[in-house]
Amino acid sequence: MKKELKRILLIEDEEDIRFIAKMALQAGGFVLELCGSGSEGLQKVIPFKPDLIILDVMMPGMDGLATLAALRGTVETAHIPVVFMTANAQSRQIENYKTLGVIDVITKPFDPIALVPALHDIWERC
Amino acid sequence: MDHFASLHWVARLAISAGFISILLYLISLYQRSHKAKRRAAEQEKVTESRITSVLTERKQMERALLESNALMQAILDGANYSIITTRLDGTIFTFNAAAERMLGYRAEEVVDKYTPEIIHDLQEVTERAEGLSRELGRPVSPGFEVFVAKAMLEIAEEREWTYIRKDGSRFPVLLSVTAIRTPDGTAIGYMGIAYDITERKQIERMKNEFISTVSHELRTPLTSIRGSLGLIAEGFAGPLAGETAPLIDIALRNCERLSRLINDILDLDKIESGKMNFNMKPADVTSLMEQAITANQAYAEQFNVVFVLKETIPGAKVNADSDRLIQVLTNLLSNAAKFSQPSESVILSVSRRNRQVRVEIADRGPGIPEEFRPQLFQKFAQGDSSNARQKGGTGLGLSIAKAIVENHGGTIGYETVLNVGTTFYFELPEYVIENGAI
Repeated sequence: MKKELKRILLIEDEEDIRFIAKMALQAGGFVLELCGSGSEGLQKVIPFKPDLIILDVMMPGMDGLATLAALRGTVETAHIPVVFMTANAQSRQIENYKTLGVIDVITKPFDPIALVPALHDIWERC
Repeated sequence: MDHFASLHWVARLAISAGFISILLYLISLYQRSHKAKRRAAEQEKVTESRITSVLTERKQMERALLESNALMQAILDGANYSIITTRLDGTIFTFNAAAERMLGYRAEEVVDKYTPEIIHDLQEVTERAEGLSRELGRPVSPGFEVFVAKAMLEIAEEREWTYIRKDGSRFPVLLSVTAIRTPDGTAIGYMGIAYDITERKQIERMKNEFISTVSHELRTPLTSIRGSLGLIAEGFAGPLAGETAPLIDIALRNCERLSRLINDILDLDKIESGKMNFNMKPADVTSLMEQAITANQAYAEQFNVVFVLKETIPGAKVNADSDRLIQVLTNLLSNAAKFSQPSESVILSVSRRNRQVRVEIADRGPGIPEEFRPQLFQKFAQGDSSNARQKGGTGLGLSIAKAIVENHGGTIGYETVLNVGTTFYFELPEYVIENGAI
């Protein structure tokens, strides 16, 4: 039996979207850590030990791709599954992201109500 | 004496007569020779004038030739296009000044050399050879033939290629190749005209970046709005009082619509600028129809409509980008569902017509009003604006569907009867396996 999805680290630069995601995910019973940038995420990821990371792609400074590379390059975080969240996704691009080792892509705008079941579904598949 | 004297006179007369006749003879001789001489002289004059005129003509031709050569040279030297002519075997015959500038070679360094090996990327040439072999249905060797296969068939072709400079650096060009033919049509060589599109590519890249930024900037606030409304609608912010629920529902539906609109605008921009990559593979039509039906069933249920695949050709294939074709089907299916009477079914069928696979989607809706038919496939066209608002479309669906079908080498159309229904159809060339079997 696979470990239950419990701890989620969300890296998203938009405060409003963080707030909405927090509301939706808390209702799903997850334990959350929210970060506003890639570098903040990299600091918090090791102590928090998430089961899954939700990572925004387009962020100022360190973007999602750079953050993903840094996570993959660190022994403690290399194995943690990452889901991209992007406002700029077309099916072709989603395929490209998946080749980078991202397990799935959530497109914005997303339905907050559907977010929890979607994450459970992704977790089961990975 | 008198007698003698008279004899003398006769003799004298006779002599003088003889003399005269001799004289006359001589004169006639002279005249004859003179005539001949004159005739000869005249003839000479004619020949002379003929020669003169031939000479003048030749001189004029020479001058014209020099002038046209000078003109041609001026064009070749002055052109900002690289103009390279080759012999039939692909060896370089002439190499103009712009080609020298662009590629960093002097003409004498490359004349008589084989073009593809000098200025082209062999990898690119090999890939194109494979593509052309498929397209023309015969093997095209990965060399000079790649550039002239179409010109030989008198097909004009303009194509992007990478040119490689003498120093090894690369740049993109748009190259068109034409056969050089004698008046009787025999090809004696080829001419390739190319221009540097580095700048154009940069502008394209900037435009793409801009569009990507805009779409991100539009979708980000929409995500917050959509998210907040979604949470409110589900009671996350407490119970909804009075008329709040239907208002939230309106806001939500319009969020979805705005989001679809952004997607559609981006799609259309991609297709129109040729930036949409079509990932073409042989695809089973029946399976595509079934996938599209499954994907749109929930949407149809809102209108109490069902999709029925009534007739199909098992195994029929088309060479297509499956995702894009499902996008076309989704558009036609959602339109059919939207405009159907409740509890009606939308009938789908697949048939074969002259090596084309025809897909039909028939609804029993109100039909398309005559005045609207001409702009049906135009952007932001909707049958009746009040109705369209209610139906929640973007007004771009059919123009996207048309663009996608046409990019697949197919046609799209409809048949409609007022108060009876509308059938939309598209036809695509059937995918035929190499050996000719279907």
